[in-house]
Amino acid sequence: MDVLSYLATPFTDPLMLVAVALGTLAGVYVGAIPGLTGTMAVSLLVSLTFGWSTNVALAAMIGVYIGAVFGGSRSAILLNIPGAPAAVATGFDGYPLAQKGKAAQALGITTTMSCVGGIFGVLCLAFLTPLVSKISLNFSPVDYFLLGVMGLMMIGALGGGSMVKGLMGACVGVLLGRVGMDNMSGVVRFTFGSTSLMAGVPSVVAMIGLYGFSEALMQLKSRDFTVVKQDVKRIVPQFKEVVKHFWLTLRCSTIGMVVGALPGAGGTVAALLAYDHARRTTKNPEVPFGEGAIEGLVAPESSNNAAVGGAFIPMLTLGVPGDAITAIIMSALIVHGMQPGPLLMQNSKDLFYIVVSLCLIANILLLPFGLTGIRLFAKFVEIPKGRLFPIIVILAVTGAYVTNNLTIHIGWMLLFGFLGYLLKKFKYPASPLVLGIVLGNMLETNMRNGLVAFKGVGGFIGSIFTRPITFILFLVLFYFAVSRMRWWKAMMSKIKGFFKGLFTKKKA
Amino acid sequence: MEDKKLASAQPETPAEQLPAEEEKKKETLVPGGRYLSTILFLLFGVVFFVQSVQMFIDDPRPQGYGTFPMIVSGLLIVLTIIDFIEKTQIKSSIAGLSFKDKFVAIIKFLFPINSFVFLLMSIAFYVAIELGCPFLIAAPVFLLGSMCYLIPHNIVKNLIYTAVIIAAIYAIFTLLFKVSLP
Repeated sequence: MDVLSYLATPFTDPLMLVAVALGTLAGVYVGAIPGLTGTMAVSLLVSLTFGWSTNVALAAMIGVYIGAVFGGSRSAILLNIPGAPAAVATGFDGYPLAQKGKAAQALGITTTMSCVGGIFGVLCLAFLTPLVSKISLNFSPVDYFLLGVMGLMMIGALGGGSMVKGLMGACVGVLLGRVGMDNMSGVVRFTFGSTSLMAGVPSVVAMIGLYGFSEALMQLKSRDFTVVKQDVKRIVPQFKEVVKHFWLTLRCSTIGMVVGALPGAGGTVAALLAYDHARRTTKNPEVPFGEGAIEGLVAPESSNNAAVGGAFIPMLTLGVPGDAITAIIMSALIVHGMQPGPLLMQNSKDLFYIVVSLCLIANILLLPFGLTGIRLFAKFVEIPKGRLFPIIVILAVTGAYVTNNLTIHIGWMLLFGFLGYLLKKFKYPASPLVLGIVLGNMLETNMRNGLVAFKGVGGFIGSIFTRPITFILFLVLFYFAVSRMRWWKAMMSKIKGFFKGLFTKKKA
Repeated sequence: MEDKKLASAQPETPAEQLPAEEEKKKETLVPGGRYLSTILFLLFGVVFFVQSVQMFIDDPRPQGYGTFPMIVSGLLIVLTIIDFIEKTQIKSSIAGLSFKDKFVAIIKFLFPINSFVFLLMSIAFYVAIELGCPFLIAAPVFLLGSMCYLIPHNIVKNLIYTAVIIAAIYAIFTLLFKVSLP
């Protein structure tokens, strides 16, 4: 009974409802602007909410968080500039769809699936919190390392058929991500004496350059500025389309929720793993992956929104934030006199259920708010390329600058853009490079922590066979690796053929 | 013309639909695709590898700050060599040309005039900002300049687009979110 009254709290306070609604709406549009991330919006909001009541402040922050995670997909689909790292995978198929005049359809399906994934994540938050927090607490650095390697397995999907080319891009990304001060030893690496390189390469800046600026350079090679007319008649996806992808949505939402609950992993890794999962398990997509497959939108979007619910689990139950935004929300809660952590369920049970209720409301509101402005946004892509690409560059420059208020980041953005352009020209995929930058830190930090924790290389490798979670992850990783190989595919088709033959014989 | 020729040399069928061998036969390397790309990757890998080895010498523990980049840069060098070997089986689109012609073909392929001018304009825009020129002056100049270069026949429309975009950026970033522009 208490639980129901806690869950109903937002409905008894109109201010909370207004705050979560406005927060979600603002988040959707903030997330869609390159450079303005959800982390930035929530941190700006924190300073405003000090004088507010805890529940209203929490409502606004949760609204912005959920709205911004979804909003990142808009710029990824329309401009090929992901609004946030979690939307990188959305652009793989979203941008090709926009290029075919189907931006509205892509935005419609991402809104619906983000909503479904988000609600799934919240339900898991409500019912599975003790279990998931227990599992995530048992994750060792080696497990995080294996998770990072799994994320890198995406390279097979992005390498344009060549694993070697994909891995080369990823290695360049990982190495560029090592530029700057090492966060474990404090030693400055690969800066070549330049102080401006000490801050390192922010992944958002690299992403903006590699996707936005390089695309402009690629497409401006000729003056054929044919306008792609956008079909904006069908925005809301048909019910049968949602049902068709429902099983995939549930699987990807589960990936999102579990990965989101792992501190430090977050929606980016979740979305990449989900995209890879969709690519492996979708037998006959209507359009190939990378060319506008709907499944390529369903998977990352349901997953990164489910990761939001997951990210709250360790924050509320262990006092360990799941990602950067939950870290900010946690510090805001502490300022408001709350103490997220193991004692929260005993001392402030109401707070837990209020968070669940607010997340649920924000995800439901995502559907109407996410579908607003789609016609206007889709029209943006209809601007002739001779005008659109200079606008994209201005947005990319602004976005790169505002991430840290450093002009050097504009230079980085241009450099990454040129690098991406060269890679595309030489037929190397640019996405593994982004993946390398995003996952490089996770890989290195956890490899080194694992080596310390398990006392050397022997202990590190030994832990794979002595810890059940690590062993399961290793088996999954092993399957990921071998299932890409020709002999495995040939063997599986033989086995399938054998069983098929067996059943048809029986029937006969 | 050069681009059209090169584009026609690329297979139009999605890669997955072609058997690997058949695909290799039809594929041709773009100008600079054999040596230039290999040299760039190799150079990048070697620079990072040499620096990483120096770091590893300073801190030779497996968990030291040089180990991970050393492994990754070493892997990059090995992969670049494998990639080069794979590429030797593919015919180059500029095979048989003299060195000078090859050089011209590579430059023409890498820097089509529009992309090159646009790249120069973007660099000039960045340099202007780096030298202290306010964003609200440099950005409209870049925007209008590049739009007029790419679409020269409708200057009034270009002006309207420039004004609307700069006003929108100023309103969103400076007025709404209190984020300072360069």
